[in-house]
Amino acid sequence: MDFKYSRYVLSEKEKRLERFLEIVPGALSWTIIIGIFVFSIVQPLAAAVFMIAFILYWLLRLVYMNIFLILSYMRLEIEKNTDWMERISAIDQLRSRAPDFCEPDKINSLKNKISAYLYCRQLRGLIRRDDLPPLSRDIHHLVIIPVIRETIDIVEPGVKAIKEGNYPCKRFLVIIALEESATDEVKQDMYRIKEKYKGVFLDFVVIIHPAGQPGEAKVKGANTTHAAKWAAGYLTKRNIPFENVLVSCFDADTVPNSRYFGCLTYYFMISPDRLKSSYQPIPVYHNNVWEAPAFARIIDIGTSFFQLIEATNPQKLVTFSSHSMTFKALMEVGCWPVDMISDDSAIFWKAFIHYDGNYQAVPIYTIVSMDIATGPSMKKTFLNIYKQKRRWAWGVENLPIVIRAFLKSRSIPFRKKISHTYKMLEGFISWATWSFLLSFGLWMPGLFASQAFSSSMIYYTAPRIKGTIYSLGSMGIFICMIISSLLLPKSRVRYGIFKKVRHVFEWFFIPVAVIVLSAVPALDAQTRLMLGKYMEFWVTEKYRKN
Amino acid sequence: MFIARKITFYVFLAAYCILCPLIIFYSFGYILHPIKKEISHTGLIHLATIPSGADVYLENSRFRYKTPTSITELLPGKYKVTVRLKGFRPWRHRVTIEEGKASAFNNILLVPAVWEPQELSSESKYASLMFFPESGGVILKKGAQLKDFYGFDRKKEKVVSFTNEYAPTRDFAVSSLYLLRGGKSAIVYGGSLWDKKFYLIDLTEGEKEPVDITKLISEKPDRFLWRVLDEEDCFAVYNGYVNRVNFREMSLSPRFINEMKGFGASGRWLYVLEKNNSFLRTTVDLELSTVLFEGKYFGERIFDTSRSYRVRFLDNDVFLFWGDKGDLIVTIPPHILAEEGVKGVDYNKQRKRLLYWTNDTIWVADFTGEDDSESLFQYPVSVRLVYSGGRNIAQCFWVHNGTHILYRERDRLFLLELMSDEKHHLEYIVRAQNNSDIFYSDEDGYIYYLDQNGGLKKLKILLKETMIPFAFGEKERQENR
Repeated sequence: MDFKYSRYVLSEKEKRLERFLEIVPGALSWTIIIGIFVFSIVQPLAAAVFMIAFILYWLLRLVYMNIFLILSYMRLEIEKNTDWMERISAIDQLRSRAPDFCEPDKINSLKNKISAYLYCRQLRGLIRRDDLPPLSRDIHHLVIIPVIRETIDIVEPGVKAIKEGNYPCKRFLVIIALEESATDEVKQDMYRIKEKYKGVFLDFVVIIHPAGQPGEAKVKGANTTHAAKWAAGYLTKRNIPFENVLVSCFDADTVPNSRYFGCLTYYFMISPDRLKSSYQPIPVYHNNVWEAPAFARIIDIGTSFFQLIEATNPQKLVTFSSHSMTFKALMEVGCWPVDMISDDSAIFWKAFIHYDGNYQAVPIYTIVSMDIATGPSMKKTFLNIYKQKRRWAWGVENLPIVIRAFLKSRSIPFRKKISHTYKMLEGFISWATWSFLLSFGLWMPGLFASQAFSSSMIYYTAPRIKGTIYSLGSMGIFICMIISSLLLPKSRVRYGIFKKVRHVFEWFFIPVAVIVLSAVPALDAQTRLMLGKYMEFWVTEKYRKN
Repeated sequence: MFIARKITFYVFLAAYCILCPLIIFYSFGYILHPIKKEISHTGLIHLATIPSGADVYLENSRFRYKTPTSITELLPGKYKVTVRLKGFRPWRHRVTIEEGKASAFNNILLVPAVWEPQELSSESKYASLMFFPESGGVILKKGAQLKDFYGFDRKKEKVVSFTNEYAPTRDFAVSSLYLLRGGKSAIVYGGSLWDKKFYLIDLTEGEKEPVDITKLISEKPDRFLWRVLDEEDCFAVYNGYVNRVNFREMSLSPRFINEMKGFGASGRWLYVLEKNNSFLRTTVDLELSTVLFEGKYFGERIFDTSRSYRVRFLDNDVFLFWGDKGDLIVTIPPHILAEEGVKGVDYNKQRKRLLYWTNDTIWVADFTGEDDSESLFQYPVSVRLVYSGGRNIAQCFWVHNGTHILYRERDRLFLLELMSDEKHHLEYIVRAQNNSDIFYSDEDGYIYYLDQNGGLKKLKILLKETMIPFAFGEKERQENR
């Protein structure tokens, strides 16, 4: 479908519809928060019943999510040591000889057995479809790293990780997409990196994005789009077909796992509709995890958990943060939006709409590591995290655009429209409101109890029921504690057992951290959208202690 | 994974659809009767005690949890409930359980088995203790002369003499005493038949000479009222008029208010009931006056019983008029709370309850507007008799934020626990000196009184433990752990 994915190039009628849809998420969130307060005063009995129903729903949802968190983590563990290059090679060999199937029964370790079983199933699917991918030697990787004020100590680790990974370096075109407005120090740093790594990759270039281009906002998408368009010319000159190029748009601090590109290539090769897919890894925030304060660590671990859970539902997975896609699809949809902040999710929706719903995000079970937003002081760290979360929550700006597209499209299946709309809306609303409901909604009916309510059964039974459900829900916290401990990297510096044990108990900060650094920023973002106060792009400060 | 997810989703959805209504019905008291195998609608009893951690007995069986706790799944009927805690008298009550209703006893004050009062004045003995409700002050008296009067600083538990041993006014014969400024000052009236005087005495730290204020106050007033916002500004209330006195400037505004039969002050406002029964509110300088109601508003005869009235602001534009004949009138229906004989009042702001008593009865007027009675006409004020058959009830105090009443009947002190089913509990506390007041502070839960030998004592009847009106925090019996 030909659809302009922007809120700035609309007709009057579309602008009104867009504006109305922008108001919906914020209005719903505020209605829920204020509503429970008012409801508790006006109808405390009904409010108490509602809160029981809600907290039961929360418990079951928590258990449900924990199940898939565990499954997803197990999958990540299973694939942790997979030799993706070997599998890629096996796929290459499918052209020349009959398939040589693995025999999971001959494998002793359970993890390897499961991994082999999944691999065999994927391979059989590929053969059945008779849709062989290009040879791996023909597949190239374009890595775009947008930089505005990150210095060499932030950017270089990512480049180094690409070099030291197990994928052949000569298949990489690495572009540092540098803003013209970056300081001289930053520019010098980027050229130093280029100097250091020239000759390692197919090519390593620094592309300057000129400032103040017409039609562009000060957003990362404008920078990466500029770099992508340059890359298109480069690839065309060298006769590298776009369908053989996978583009990975990383943040400046992204450090891909050593097996990342092997894993990515593998999934590209075995995916049905490989050219209409994005590839979403599991983001973790391990670059400075041991230096960051506890509340920051907990919030970002929660983000990783969320992505782990989302990976188990590929039909509704949307790209987030650092991810990859085919260069062909990127160019066909017109690259990243140049006037939107949430380019990571927007590019998915652009593609989804462009291909009439025949586009998906494929979860790939490997990790990319990034920085936890910190600062030189605790207060600055807090503010940086708050702003980052608010920027992430600003992904709600996609909702009105997507719904507008759904209303216009006759090709996207109705079921998909409803399903995606519900998931988006429910996701953003629950992000902004659930913490408030769980923290305050439970005791408000009792606080405003009239005599009539305080002589009813439910006035006394409701706190007990809620307490019981909360206790059961705390099991979910234990699971999160365990998985977060398992996910964490070994610390570079040897910390005492006290610090590790302390990390486990940091999860008890969750109720406060989630409200202040998750729900409030989400509500902030939705309120801004509701009021038409569109956000300027604020670059997350990345700070490393020496 | 997709199929697994779908299956799991529907399983959880089914679980929610089944569990949610079941839990909600359970929260309303519906259970499956264990014997009849049918749905029964039950009630519960909630018990919260001070101190907490008491054992609960239902009929004769001990409940597994200690207070605060709720006993749920009780079929409708009558139950005998006993609460026991070592060192305290057992608390017993017969509770009627109704379907879907909670019988809540949130404020059970367990009474010690043995009271242990503390001695405050081991050497000094006093003839009487006088409590001044309007100022909240306490005066101790040994005799009739000025040297025999002492102010009592409750916070420091210190006794302050009205004079020092060299003061010329030491032997001044006191016939009337007024307390001002929350007990920081006193005005004494007396002297010889031909030379009556008024003295102002500062009862704060340091020995200060009584100040002769006879020129300011020539006649003995019914009472003094001072302004909280300016403690030096005072009103001497007489029959039909009010003088304004400023002790800082030593000035007098005679007949500051005239032609009045009722007077009161609250915050920056003065309230005047005029002789024609109009009631008005005015600023201290009388510049801004508002008529709150006209003379005929309540009927012409409503204020005829007494010569003068004390006016008190309660809450939300509700005013109380307490006449010198003991009639009690409020500005909302049913208006007349008592026609005569009221000896004292105490208002609990938080619960909006007024306590008032006569010689033989104690009453509570509830201003919340929540009336459980099934009468056809419902008033904003509901009045109930909580105790009758007394003999010379002299003082009453709200205890534990309006849930109990401490009262003195002649020389005996009692604690009355108010119950929602009107079956109030009465506990005897201690015997005090006859014809002597007591003082009770709900902030710290102490009674201050003179024992029968005149010794000053204090007795704690209320622990500091706060009561939270929600049912959680149940403690199991230790032996079950």
